[in-house]
Amino acid sequence: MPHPLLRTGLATVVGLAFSLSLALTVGCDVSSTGDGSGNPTATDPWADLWCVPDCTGRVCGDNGCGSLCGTCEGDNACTAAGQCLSTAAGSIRGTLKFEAQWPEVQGASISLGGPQVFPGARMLAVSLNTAGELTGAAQADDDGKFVIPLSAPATGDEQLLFTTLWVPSLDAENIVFSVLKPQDGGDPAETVSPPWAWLVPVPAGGDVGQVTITEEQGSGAMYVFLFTVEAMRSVTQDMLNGNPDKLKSLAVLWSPGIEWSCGACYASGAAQWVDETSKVADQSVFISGESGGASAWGYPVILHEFGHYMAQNYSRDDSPGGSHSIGQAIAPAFAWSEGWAGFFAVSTMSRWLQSPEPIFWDIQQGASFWLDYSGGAHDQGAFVQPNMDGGLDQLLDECWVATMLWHVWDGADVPEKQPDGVALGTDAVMKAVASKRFLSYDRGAPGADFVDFCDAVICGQPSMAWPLKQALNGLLSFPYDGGSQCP
Amino acid sequence: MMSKSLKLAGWLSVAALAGCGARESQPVPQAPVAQARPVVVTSQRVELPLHLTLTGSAEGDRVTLRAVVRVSGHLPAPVILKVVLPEGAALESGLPVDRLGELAADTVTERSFVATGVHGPVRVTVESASDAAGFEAHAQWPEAPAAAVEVAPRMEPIAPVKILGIQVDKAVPVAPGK
Repeated sequence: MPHPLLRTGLATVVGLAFSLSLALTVGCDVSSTGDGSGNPTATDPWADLWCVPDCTGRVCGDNGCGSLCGTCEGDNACTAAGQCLSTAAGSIRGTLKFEAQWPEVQGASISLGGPQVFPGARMLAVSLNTAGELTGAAQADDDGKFVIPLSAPATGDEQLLFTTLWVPSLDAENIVFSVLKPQDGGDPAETVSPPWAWLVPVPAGGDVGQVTITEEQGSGAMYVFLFTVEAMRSVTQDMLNGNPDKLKSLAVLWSPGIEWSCGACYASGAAQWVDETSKVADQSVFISGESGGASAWGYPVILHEFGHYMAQNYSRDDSPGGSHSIGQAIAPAFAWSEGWAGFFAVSTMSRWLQSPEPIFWDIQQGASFWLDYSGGAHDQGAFVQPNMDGGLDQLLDECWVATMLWHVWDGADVPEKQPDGVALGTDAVMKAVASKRFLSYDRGAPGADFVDFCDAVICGQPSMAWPLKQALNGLLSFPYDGGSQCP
Repeated sequence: MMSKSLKLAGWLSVAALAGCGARESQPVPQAPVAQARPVVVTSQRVELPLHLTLTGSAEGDRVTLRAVVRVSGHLPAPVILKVVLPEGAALESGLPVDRLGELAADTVTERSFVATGVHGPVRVTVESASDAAGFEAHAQWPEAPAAAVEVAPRMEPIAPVKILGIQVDKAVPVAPGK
């Protein structure tokens, strides 16, 4: 039976897409660790991972931890610099939208529906004069609406620029994330590629109306950019104590018609350049833009590769790498790496949509698949299940690792269909994989694996030992023993 | 359910540097990059477990086809092969719907068909689906024309804008809304 989301009218989907709540305010949730108030204590094993809001020099806009420094009143609008400025003298205003394709399940297959329009939520709008000088900027809201205060009325000589370059703060010294437009494909490589950008002439008076980036204009790049920026934000909040200085620069290379031999892949040592002397990223994700494939619309694959980037840089990944297929029992460290990436993809999408979306899917030329990580536990034939007598170091199906992660995660940030006694939520999961226990200790099979993740959860939240063991042994057939090894 | 509050990333891009005119920082001198230098991939896309190839030959309107189904992983349910003929054609041998059963990993299964009155493409699909997973592969004989190549939009030169040493000097032109 197709997943409910994929039967839902797209209007609902569009309404939900990019609609983020403030429920993910890290550091403000009551946790079983700390002093009970939600604040870390000296003995809190996750104390160094809590997000610290920063409104230094800002009176409005985001505080870096999912909440606001403040809002502007009257005819004032919040600039990208976090200041309320009057729009009485003049402004550039409008709404940014873009086209994207959404998946449709039809029995065993999944395909892309026709283009639908999504809001350019939180995309930065930059105003330029004819000399290319920046004259103002503002961030679009969740509906894609933006207002850029000006010191004088727009004369009609101004231009609006949207680009896929991202820095996390005014103090940043380098671009942290970018989506680049490669000229050639083939084997993944270090390249010289420009960032995607769109330029809109501003009419006199400053009202640009609704600007829609179409598929033919490369809206796929904006789609990829917006999702991945949110993933970067999640990493910063949940794993880096709200400190973006620790982020490692990443570029995604995608363009319609450009195919990479790997299909889609992550390369930790692949730098990217925008010209012969300007390096923009130290690491890369390559996404093929082939006709007949998921291309830029394949958010599960894109976020899966980002999950690898996250594990490689902010957690621990001991995977041997190489080719892998669905339904293969592989080494636990390999299964953990791939299962984690798959889980990260669907859980991130679920948080954005405020709805459980456990479907991982992909379309490759001539074939497609979809996996429901929430259903695997009840569908005996779907995935390769572990053996309760097989020990902690048994080979595992990466899809089963993702299934286990989904089931122990859901119920906190999004509702769970079948309560299983465990609802860790994103905060606890991310902190576990960034914890000292996960980074430095090893139990189960050699290398970071699902056992080490479970131990890390329990080390941070001892009260979870019994519920976690029960859920894994019972519903999920994994013989976790609850015998955590804590630092 | 949908929060009306702005959930701003709070992350400033390009224009965070705005309001002060273009802010330039001197880029740290870097060694020139070799064009398209290959790299080692850290992780790669999962392989699909179900594959289908279709070959054939024709004598007039009589077509002989051979479908090869290759399974490289675990499938959730028995595999079903379906043949869809063009209007007016009929199968002389082979089944229009063939339940191949539960195919194990690393197996290859073949089916042959003969159809007459064929004046268009024959399409074959294989699929395996359960409540929690679905896999599908398809092929056509004669092969479908190469799908229209996606064409990237052209980015036009613009007055250069520098962001933390990164120059943006081309963009896709977009018209304002009405």
